[in-house]
Amino acid sequence: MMTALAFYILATLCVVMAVLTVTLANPVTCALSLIVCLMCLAGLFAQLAAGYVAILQVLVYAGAIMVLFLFVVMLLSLSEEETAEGKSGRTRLLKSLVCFAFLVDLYVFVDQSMGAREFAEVQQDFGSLAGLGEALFTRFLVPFEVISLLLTAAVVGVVAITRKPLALPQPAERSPSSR
Amino acid sequence: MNPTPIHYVIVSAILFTTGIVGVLTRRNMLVVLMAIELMLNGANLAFVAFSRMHGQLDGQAVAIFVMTVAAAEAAIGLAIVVQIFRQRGTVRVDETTLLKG
Repeated sequence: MMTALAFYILATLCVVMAVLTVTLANPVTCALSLIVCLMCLAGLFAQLAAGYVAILQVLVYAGAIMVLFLFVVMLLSLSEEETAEGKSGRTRLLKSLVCFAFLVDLYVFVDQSMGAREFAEVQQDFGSLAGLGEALFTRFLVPFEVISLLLTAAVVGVVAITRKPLALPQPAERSPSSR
Repeated sequence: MNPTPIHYVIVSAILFTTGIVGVLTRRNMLVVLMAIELMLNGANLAFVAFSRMHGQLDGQAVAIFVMTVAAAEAAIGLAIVVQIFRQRGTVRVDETTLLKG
């Protein structure tokens, strides 16, 4: 009973905050509601016996990534005019309706394919750090290494993108001998 | 009524669709990036729910990978947004159409 109650509270809050994230005008409030949404998702992960993923969700997502977002929002300090969404209400409604149709489609598909499936019986330590670590370092070793490479590439890429462009000499200033 | 796998998957579908709506309708690049995070999280919830449904840890491992990719994506995306703002003074999606042809 308690599980069901917790699930419905968390799921409702999560969905409401997600909708607020994509509808509110101010990017700071968007980011804050997204943080609450991610926290609720961490709760849902914990309910699904994924304790370690839940901890990572709070630390990495709600912590690091969203702080990065908020930092950039503050750094850019956008004007009111810059964050205004314009009026094209009709196309936006149309797009939302198409997405709603997609959601209904997803629901029908999911309902038909796994309507009455129940959770498997799992042991007490399912989703513990030990079991997950063993999976990561045996069956998922190659993806794990590839991911580390991806992170390195991302770090290098970010530095390369945000660096100020090199002050190349203007064509007129170049001496003829350097061509 | 106790939640079954389909409940979690439906929540994940709603989150994913909300993310798509955000990507399609918002004009602020930062909010578009946040909507992409929302989509990735919806996928993550589905992974973890299926992992629990089958009693296997693979889904949770993939969820961790998705989280890592999301971190890399956010870092690169925000770097690009900052650089666009520096050079063009705007973060509106409909005003950065240089590659549109």
